[in-house]
Amino acid sequence: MKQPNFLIIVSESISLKKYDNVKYVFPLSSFCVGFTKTYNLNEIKVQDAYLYINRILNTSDFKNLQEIIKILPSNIKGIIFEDMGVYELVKHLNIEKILYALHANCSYYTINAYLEKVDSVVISPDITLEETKEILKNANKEVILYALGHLNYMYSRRLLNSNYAKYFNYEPKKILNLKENVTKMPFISLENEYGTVLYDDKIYNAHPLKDATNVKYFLINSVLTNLDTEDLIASFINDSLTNTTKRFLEQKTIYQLK
Amino acid sequence: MTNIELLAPAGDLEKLKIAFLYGADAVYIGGEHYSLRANAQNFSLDEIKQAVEYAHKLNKKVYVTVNIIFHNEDTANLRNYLIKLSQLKVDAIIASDLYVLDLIAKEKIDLEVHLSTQASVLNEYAALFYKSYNVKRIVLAREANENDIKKIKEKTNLDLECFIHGAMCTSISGRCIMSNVLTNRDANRGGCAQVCRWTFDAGNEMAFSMSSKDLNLIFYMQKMLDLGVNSFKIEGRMRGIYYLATVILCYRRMIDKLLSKNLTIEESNYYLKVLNRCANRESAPQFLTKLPDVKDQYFLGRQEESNQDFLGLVLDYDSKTKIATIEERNLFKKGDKVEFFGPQIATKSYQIDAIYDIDNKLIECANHPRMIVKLKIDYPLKKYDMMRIKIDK
Repeated sequence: MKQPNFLIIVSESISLKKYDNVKYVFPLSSFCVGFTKTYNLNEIKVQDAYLYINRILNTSDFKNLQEIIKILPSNIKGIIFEDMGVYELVKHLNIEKILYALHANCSYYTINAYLEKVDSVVISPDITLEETKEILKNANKEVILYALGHLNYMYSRRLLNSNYAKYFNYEPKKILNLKENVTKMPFISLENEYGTVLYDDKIYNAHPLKDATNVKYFLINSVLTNLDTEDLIASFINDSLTNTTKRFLEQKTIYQLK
Repeated sequence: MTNIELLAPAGDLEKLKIAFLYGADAVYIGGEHYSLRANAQNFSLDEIKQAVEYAHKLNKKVYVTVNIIFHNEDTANLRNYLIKLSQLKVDAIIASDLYVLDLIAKEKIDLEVHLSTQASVLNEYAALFYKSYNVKRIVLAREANENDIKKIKEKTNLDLECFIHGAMCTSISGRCIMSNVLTNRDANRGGCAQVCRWTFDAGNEMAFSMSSKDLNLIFYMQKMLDLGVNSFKIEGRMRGIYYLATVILCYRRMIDKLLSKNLTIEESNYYLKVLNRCANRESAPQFLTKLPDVKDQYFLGRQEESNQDFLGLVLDYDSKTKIATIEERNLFKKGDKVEFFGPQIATKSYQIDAIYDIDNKLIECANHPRMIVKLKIDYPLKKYDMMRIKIDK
């Protein structure tokens, strides 16, 4: 059996130790939301690094991005993005192009349409285990599975934490721990100058998919986990973390009430 | 100056007719599948056929939303559905899932495609990507600012459609599954439960809220025309006929005055007042000229007032007797000051001196939902004109 390969989205807890089956993904400064730390190009020293751009970009952002692309160092193996404008900008570059559109890639038909353009696609974690397996079976290229990390449930361009603090004259906080008032379900609201992300308070673990095939990488997001690479991978493989969730893997959503 | 399309929502055939009657140039509707308002009444294929025939007789357009995020199970009948829409000669579909765009291009299905706001286009590069799939129009993300619109138009020359009025998601459209998490209803397949209007405990005395005020761009319509916007879009496929009629007529009149260069600030302020009353919620320009801030959100839960402005629908007017037959929608009584509005009449005030029931008996008030009453009105009215509480200028 092929040894699983991992992409680790880097945060403060990652020591960047070298492993044969691990590549690191760096949230790029000015181009990411939902992270406690982002990285400038000159801070990224590891080999075969991936850049991560998860913002929906305004036109004005592309000037800066074009400058970065012009001086892309040779240790950058690829770029992972949400906005198809980024693909359009980098499509002629000889680097890997990976689409990670948060909630968009829920069918193998959609994923195969994107795979005609990009090198790989992150399967949405908003779908069931069976739906995921069907995608893996039918995807025309190896795809990426979101394996472990807090799930991003909402991305707003608004500065929700700051606005709340300002309205009630509270001390502004970049991270707020929230509990929905009826269900009491906890969330984490993380804001930077480019917007706010609401994460699940629990860590999602797609452990039932650990032996999946047709997987280019298992993706792990370290943000807010306080865990280093080895622990994150072990947690996924062994399902060893407590208080995790499998969320939509075992919870099929509905949409027509009648 | 170029013309501009006023695009309105239509939840069913009656609303579609009201939308056209009150001045919409085009409507967008959802079919029974693949639409982001899964729990609206929506249109059967036969109703879509009727809608298109009705619209085309008026030289108006019908766009059909096919804008869910597809799961494997949703794709089975998509191809046949798209072919059927093509045969019914809908003027365009509105889609965001790349599979839909790809399928139409590869199968050469004769359908114009408008890219849904769910695709979140804010820059010319993304617009160019979708243009390569033969998309003819882009419904821009509500987060688009002036510079985004200008550049996208300059670099792509695509038709641009912008929301100008109605409810806002707190998130970037399509980038939220809070409804999935908290209610198990899939937001990106039409089941959104509007969780962004709920409240959260943040460990402080006051609850955390993220609810956005509604959008209105009344004072920026000229700017948007200058930037190259082709279609002004009104949100609200689940809204009632009073809301639709009021909003469409306000924008119709403002656009017509704008195009003839005689829209005044006083008139715009009056229309804003009418629109804000009708929606029960405050509104703001949101993202066009700046990032929305604390003033553009609600913080104390659902601050919506019950709206009972809509008093009656005109069913008939007898020009000889000057008697209007009216279907009651909210209580009104003798002595009330009201006004009539409609697509063919200037908004006119009226004081109710006498109300008659269907047996021509004098009554003091109309207090039963949908009861039929008669009023003597000196000026002519038409079927589908509406009576509301008087709104002072």
